[in-house]
Amino acid sequence: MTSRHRNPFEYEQATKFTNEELVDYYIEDFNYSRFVSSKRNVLLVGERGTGKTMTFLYHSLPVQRAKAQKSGEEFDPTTISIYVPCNTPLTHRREHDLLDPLTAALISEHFLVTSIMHATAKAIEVIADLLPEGAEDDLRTEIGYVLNIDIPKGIPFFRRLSLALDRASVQVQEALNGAQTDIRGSFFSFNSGLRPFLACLKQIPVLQESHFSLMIDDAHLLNRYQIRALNSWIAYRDNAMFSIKVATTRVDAPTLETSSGGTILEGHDFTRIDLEQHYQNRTSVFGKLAREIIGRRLKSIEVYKTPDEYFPPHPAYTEGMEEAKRDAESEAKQKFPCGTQKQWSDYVYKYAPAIYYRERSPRANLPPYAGFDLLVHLSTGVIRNLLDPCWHMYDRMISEVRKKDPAVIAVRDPIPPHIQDEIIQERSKRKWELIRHELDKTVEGCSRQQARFVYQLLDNLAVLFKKRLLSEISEPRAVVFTISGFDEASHLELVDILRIAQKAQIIYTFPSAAKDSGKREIYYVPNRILWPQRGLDPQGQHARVSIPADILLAAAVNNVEIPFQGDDQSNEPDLFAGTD
Amino acid sequence: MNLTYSLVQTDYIVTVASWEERFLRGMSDLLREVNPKIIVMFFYKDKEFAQWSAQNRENLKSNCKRLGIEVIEHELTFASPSDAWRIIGSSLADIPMNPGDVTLDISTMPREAIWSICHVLRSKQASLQYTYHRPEKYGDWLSRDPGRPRIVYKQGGIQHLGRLTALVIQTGYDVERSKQLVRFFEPAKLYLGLQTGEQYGNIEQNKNKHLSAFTRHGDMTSFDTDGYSLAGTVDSLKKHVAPLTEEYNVVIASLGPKVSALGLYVFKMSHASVALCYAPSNDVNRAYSTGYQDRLAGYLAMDTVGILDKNSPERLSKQE
Repeated sequence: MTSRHRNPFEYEQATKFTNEELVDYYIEDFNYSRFVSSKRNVLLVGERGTGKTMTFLYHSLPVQRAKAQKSGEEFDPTTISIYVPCNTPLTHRREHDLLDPLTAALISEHFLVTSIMHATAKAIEVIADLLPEGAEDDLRTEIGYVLNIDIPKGIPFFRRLSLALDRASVQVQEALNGAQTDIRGSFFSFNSGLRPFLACLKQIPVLQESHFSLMIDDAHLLNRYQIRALNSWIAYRDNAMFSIKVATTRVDAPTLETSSGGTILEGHDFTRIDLEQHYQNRTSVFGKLAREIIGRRLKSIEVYKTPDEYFPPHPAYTEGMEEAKRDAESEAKQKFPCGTQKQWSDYVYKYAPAIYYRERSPRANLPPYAGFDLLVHLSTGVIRNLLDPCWHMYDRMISEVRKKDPAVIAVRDPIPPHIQDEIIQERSKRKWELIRHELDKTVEGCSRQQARFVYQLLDNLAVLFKKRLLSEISEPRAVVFTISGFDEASHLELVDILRIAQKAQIIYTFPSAAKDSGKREIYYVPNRILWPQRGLDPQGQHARVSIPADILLAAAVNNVEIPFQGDDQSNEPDLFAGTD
Repeated sequence: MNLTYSLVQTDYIVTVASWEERFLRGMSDLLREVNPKIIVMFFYKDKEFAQWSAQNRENLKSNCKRLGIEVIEHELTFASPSDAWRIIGSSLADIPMNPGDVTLDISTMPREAIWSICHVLRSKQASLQYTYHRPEKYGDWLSRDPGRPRIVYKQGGIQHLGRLTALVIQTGYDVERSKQLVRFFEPAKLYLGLQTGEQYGNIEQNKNKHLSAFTRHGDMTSFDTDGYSLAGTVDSLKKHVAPLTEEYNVVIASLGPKVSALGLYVFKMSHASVALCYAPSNDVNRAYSTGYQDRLAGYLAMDTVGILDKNSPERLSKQE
């Protein structure tokens, strides 16, 4: 790749994008902008790659200002969103382990508060003509008095303020680096630092009506004292001046306890937003979002094709599927001679893919995998999982073209299906290799034995799903499971195995209503990129397989095959109730 | 065994016991050459580690008893870094040490322990000579089951608010551990210190694997370094990493030769803002290494400014 033409499907950390790229790439309508820019406290939950950081960065003040500039609009200061990253070496300091609980709590809160105040000062610096003539001295005096800090003179005010706040953090770090464990000093807290600081800023005429939305990213990395402090601020509930937006992974989600021992409650103190999308079909929210994201990325390299045109399906698959649809239609008419056209169509929609896979010769190679619809399903609802194969496909295509003509810079042709298929199989194989050989080297707290258990669990699930796909049952394409008889206290080993699989993003989970009782139950969705290597249908269908906890555990621990029980095992909507 | 370099005699040897052959053979040489009065021997109790190292510890103690050397044994645990920190601190703090009193045998010492011990010794202004006994070969695998990377107590440096993170890794044979560090810190800049030389399949197993694994990282820089040389490690860090400290919050980690871990500490002594990071593993191969090939040794002044004595011999060859 040359620097003149970057791969449009780049999916590195959102922090590496420029403000302009964030404005160009972010799809506002689908990403909960309404909540993030509201005055509510919000908890954004999602594993790596679901777009938490991108969402926060897009709403942050500098990016919103860049967006206003680009569109020629005046910047609206009604909501001032401040991006506060927690994945910093300062957050990773652990001296609180060596201190008495009170000092540990004070110091931990001090670091969090100075970080937020510093991020705020840096962010509002970008607002042009923020301080009217004569206001600077008043503000300096007020903030200096309220925070009891010396704000130097001679350089731009918010730069000075940033330096003073940095100094307040450095002084405590220096004390921690020393030998003493009895550290004394003046520490900033919510009440002695953050609240009065924001109140001071609201004296600035432009910010008098502003609401500060403090976006704390990667909050799961905060220490226990900081988490409790943060929760206490969320419990404060007077959201006129500020609100807290917190982003965290699901699997390491922090406690909801406050410093005083209380608990913050969803709905009451905060709104929870799940960033993982559980349905990936064309009409689902994620299906639309995926098309928007890829469409914008294509436009960035001046490709004016739809994602479906750019990632065409494989002709052999299309042909095979047409034949399967014809077979399904005759089957439907045979089974339900008095059915309506809609019922027959639903039957075809539901069973044609299964017939396609079933009717393939047992000696045939793996079916060809290509097409944008398929890519969306393979993502399992995670944006990074969507961009990953696209990046590799584009890279492969450029490499192949340049083998023939090294002078080529950009290629705007669609990605040929054979390249899509190759990459999908390679990424699928790579995922299986990771599970089989690398989990115990890459996932924190995963032993060699547990890595083997995770592999055996997924391997046995693949065997079960394949048997189902090749059988004439009502829900042959189900690739989601629930666990019956699952008592976490007595299935600790299974809990650990599933936790590791979630941490490695091999299995995703989401709560859904159980069909029989209406109770909420957890649906487990193995990462669909696993299935091409096993010749399975990654698209699946709106159904789940119920597997007893003991059987899953035996599959994982003792590598015992999961019994195939035909239709008794699946739980799905009525035959003609539609599909996902 | 005939070493071309005679170590300085010191009153103390500080070591971490292991089940590896090089531990006992290396220590036996040290007893003869260093002629210590006291050995402070730490050992880890996690999993089967204490059981595995028991025989070596007993043998060492019995040798010491015969030679009239006192052995003070302390149990550490990976499970509680704060307890390990306190034990290391208290066990060394009360021992009266004069400059030049200590031999630090880092051969089988976890990097976090090296840095913790150096911190205590530095606070006592106790200069030290270090020894590293290299094995003849390493096992098929070295470690697995990674723990969460952690900044070492009191070694967090000075982290400025608003700065981006630069991660510097002295790489080793396990590219997955490097990947884990990168995933954890998500650095804006990544610097890989790649070991020079062809020992232990270094080019194929370390250098090439790392270059291949991180080519996609947007801002990766690699540099050659000799982790078996204290001065070499420090010099390469000064050349490549020191300039970063003006602009970035710098985290440095060693997954390479143990001497490089000492090099990172020496670099940190003169660049106080950098943070030392330890990447723990919860599982270590019992067949981690076999044999005892040779010894690397040197001298390190641990005064308040931290001066590396470049005149001290570093690389020694064993002459059979």
